Amino acid sequence: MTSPQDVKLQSTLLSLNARAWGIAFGLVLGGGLFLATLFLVVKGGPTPGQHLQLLGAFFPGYRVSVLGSLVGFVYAFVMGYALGRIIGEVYNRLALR
Amino acid sequence: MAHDSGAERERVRGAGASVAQGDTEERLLPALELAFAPLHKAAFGTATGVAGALLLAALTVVKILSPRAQDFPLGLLAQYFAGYSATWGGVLVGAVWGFTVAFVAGWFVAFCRNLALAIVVFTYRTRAEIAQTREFLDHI
Repeated sequence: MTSPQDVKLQSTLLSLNARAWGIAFGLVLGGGLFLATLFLVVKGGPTPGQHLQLLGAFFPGYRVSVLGSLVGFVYAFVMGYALGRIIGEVYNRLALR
Repeated sequence: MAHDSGAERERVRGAGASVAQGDTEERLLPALELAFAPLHKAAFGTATGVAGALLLAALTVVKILSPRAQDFPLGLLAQYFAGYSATWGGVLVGAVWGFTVAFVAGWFVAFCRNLALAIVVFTYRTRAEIAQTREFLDHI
């Protein structure tokens, strides 16, 4: 495996797909916040999710409600996508040097 | 004579098959090594560390700048991260702690992933060897 094509193939196979990592991280974080919010909504009570709703400080518009779970999913997905993308890009730069 | 020639043909075919098998293995091994390549633990740890540091630093900056986030008890992280506070100095301390914790977590994730991959490869290889030697007694 010494030709330029082989080297390119090798680095492609060994690298992480940054976009896929971003989507995966985004889905995990987004899905996690979505489910956590819905769980508290379904559970109910006098003040549902009094701690989780503090996330509204960082995610404007987020509340512990059904609509808030969708808003939270979007925010957490975007944040997770950014984190996954950073991990993929930094790994590829370091590991494939 | 015809019998001898048939046996000779069989022997040559067997040798040819053996050479072909060796040739195939030679070609396949590098490809298999790539297919089952382990993650670089230090690189993965560093990558997750950078992400963790950026995350904690960004959270702290938002907490400092945004009036909405004033009530968010981010300072409670000081229970785990010595020296951390929701201040400009805490941004740097938080980044260092975020990098450290995320580096360890990422390194461990890569280690577990490589270990699981090694177990899978070992299982495949053992199964293949057992399948190859299954009819061993028939050839004695």
